[in-house]
Amino acid sequence: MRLPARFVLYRLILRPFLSLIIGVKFPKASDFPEGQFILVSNHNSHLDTVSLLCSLPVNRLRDVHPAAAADYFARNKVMATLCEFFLNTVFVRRKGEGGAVLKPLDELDMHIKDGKSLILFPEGTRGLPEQIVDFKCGAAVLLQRNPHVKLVPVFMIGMGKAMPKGDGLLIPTECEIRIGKSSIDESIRSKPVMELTTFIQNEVLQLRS
Amino acid sequence: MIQDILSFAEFLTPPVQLVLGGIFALLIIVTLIFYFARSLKGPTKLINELIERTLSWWMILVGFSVTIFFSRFFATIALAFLSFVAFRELTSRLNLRLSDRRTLLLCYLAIPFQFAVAYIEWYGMFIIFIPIIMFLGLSMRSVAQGDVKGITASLGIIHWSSILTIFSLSHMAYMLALPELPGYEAGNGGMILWLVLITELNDIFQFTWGKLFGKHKIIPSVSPNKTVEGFIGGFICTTFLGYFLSFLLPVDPIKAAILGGFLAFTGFMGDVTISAIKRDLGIKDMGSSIPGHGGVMDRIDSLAFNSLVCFHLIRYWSYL
Repeated sequence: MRLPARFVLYRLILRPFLSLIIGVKFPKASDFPEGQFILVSNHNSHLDTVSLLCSLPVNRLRDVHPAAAADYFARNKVMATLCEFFLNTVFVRRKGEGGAVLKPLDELDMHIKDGKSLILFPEGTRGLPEQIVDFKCGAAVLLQRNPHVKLVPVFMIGMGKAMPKGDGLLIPTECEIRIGKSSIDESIRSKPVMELTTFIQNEVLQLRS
Repeated sequence: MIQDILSFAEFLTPPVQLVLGGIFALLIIVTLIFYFARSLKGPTKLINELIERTLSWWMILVGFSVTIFFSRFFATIALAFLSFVAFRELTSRLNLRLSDRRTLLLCYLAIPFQFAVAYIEWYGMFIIFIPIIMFLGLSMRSVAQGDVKGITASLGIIHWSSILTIFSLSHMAYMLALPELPGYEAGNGGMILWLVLITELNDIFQFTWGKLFGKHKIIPSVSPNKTVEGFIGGFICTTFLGYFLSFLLPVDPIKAAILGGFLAFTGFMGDVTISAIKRDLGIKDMGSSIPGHGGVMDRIDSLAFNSLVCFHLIRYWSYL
């Protein structure tokens, strides 16, 4: 039920709308690697998550989950259900809501151990268009704890102009999703967390030019 | 109204069929030559680029013929969509401010109105809507937003962009809406075909003459590839071509030749104007939507200037 609904929503409705009217340039489905990955991207707009889900290969709509802050996206029950149904989110209870026993990172780690792939926005929140703030270290920790998981760096351009933070009006603006190819070998993965975080941030920033 | 929407092939008069057929034949020959050359000499970078460009020409030609000549209703919608994409591309590149978004929304809403006005042949509104009414409206909306830092540039950029894309391309839609003239066999589709053919071939003539004989640069700080020899060669060829294709227009051959010469000049102006802007922004292409050609604006730069000149001269000569 969920997969067909998402297929209709993303492939048949949102993707044609985003590419024809808004002007989003989607990457090829083959740019995504096979197998489990952590996708790391800059974050400027609510369009980001939706556009990423629209560009995923159809068969990945089931196992790729955007991580969303529970204090914002699960404010109430209706919203939480909608997010889980359509966006396939996993919630990060970063403020210990609902008597969360695990730390937010351990929760995400559990999802990865379940075989899920994650979409993370390590800036923590939406920023100004094309400006990037220092990444938080969650992605690095998860990559170290799960050596078989791949890293997919993504840079998105223009989304913050089509629909910036704090403004619900969507304006046609050419946007682009750029997917990088990143192979992190053992030597990089075993570096200290801060260094690995800087490495990931550079992989994303590289795609800007 | 319903009859208008459903009337198919209304612009495919015999003269239009003849010229369209000729273009298709020419493109088939060129395509075959390129593929033959590749199979003979193997894939080089140049030949692959030429083939990529030719395939894009196929897309443009098929898209153009299918949308323009079958029904005025669909032609108007297609031209409105083209100007929408061109406007979006232009304003996405031109470093506007986040506070300009609502002014831009006004422009996007103006597109369907301007083309609807062209469709119903309301000339009075058609000719003042973007230059005057939108001029007032955009200024008011921008000022109402209250963000003054950089507002001068934004006002200029947004209004200039709407003239260049929305206003100019809507002239092609209005061409199709002009009343029938007794004795004008080619019909209004002939006018658009003449305009587009003259504009595109002028680009190609100027390019070819420039490559073959170009020595003296016209305006090296804007476009190092434009030469006096290329411009003059293109100007002469385009004037002659305009003369020989005058059966597509509701004017006599001498006037068609004069118009051809005009368009060789204004097409060049459109081309270097967009080049100047790209140079200012430090980019090579305006977009990447047409493989081998760059963006939509890179392809229709000269057409945007020419459709204004072509429409108003023909209207002055034959419809007033």
